Amino acid sequence: MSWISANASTIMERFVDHLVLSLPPILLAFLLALPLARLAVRFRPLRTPITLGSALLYAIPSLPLFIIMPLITGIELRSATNVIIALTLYGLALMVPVAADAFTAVDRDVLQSATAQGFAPMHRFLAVELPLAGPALVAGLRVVAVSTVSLATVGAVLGVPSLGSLFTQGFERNIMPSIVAGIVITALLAVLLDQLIVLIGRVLMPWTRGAGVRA
Amino acid sequence: MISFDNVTKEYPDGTVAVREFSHRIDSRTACAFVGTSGSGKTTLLRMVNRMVDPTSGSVLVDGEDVAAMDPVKLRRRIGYVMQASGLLPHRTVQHNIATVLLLNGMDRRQARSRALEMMELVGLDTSLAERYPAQLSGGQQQRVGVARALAPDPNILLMDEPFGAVDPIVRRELQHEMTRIQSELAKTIIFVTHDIDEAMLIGDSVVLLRTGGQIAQAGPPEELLTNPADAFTADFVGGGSHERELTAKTVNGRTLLFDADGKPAGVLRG
Repeated sequence: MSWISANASTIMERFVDHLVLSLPPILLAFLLALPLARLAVRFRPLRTPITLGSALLYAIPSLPLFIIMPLITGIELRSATNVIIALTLYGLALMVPVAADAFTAVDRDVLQSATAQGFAPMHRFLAVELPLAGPALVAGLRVVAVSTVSLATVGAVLGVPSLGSLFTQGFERNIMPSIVAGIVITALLAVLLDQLIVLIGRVLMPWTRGAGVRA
Repeated sequence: MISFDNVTKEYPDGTVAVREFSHRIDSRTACAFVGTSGSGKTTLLRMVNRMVDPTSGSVLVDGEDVAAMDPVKLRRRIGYVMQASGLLPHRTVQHNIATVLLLNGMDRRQARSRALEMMELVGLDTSLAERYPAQLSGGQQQRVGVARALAPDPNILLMDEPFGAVDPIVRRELQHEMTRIQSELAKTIIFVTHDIDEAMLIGDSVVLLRTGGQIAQAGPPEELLTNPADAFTADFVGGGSHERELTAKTVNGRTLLFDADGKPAGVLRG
């Protein structure tokens, strides 16, 4: 405990570093996956390349990806941007198939009926299809959030600071509290984000609460 | 007035859903399209609001070809009720009913109060306004579907087997409610069903369809019953096969009517 209080400001800095590394990829992966998945569902021939492609993406081991990325993008290996781009790709790999399934599962009758009421195509997507796919999208986003927070620690090996630095440095200098703090705080952050997403989901999708209460 | 002018719908795989169908439905009357599955009745219905575009021929609403109209605007002025109610599960009853009003740009407060009026019209307790569709019974959901279609006060109402998925008692209730509403509002209605009794109850006229949208017979219900054009109509309507012929017998001082199988069908009054 004394190590933690003595290093509180460092821990706080790593915590913020970690947020900077993990929040943008979570958001980007979610927002980019929506149009990709919608295309895959709308145009059948695109579905296999898109979902298979994202599955293969996830199969690339993370450390080599972090190292290869700068060669392709020209971005410096140790920059946060490098890590953010790699994590976004992993997030996409998880999110695209989930989102494709989420859109596929939306009731065709409801969509037909919405069209018949006079929703224009884009409006129908935003006002009907997206919210109805919402619960499944939220489930996918939770996995992406937890996975991204955990993967972001790998950046520490390259020298991009994050909560992972607490345990890489802990190992190097043989400081047990540092290792434990790194692991525990990373896990806590993952749980925190996960629960935050659940909460936002409940607020945005009130119809999923208390369903099944019959008249 | 709705006119079908020689419409054909052929799908790319070669199936012909409707072949050279022509018919006219007068304003402020209800016309029932009845037939078995594959008769093209739903396809015809959907041509009116351009959910389906005919391969050839045209559909005219009040003399204007729908093919020349913007489909989104056209749909907003035609009421549409379908079998599975098609309510938006993520919106409350009141919000569902107000859907088209809001699409047409009516302000929220006005749309809400109009939605409550509509609930009363279709016999729904306004205390259900804040419920979600999943919290209603099947019959209540269909009422919401009808209220939603009627909310913008459209001239035309398209109904695609609207009461097909509810139990017989509720279905009968909804059918009678529908005839009451129609006698009040006098809309131009196309009502698709496979139930000839329902067709004759709702329709001022009935169009009996065979496979591929071929008209077997069209006319007022009485005509189909008393003067069936052929064996197909007679069989479908039941008039020719003695199913609708009743025999009167006096039992315990009351006159009972028996059907062709000798089962009691009702009591004769007067």
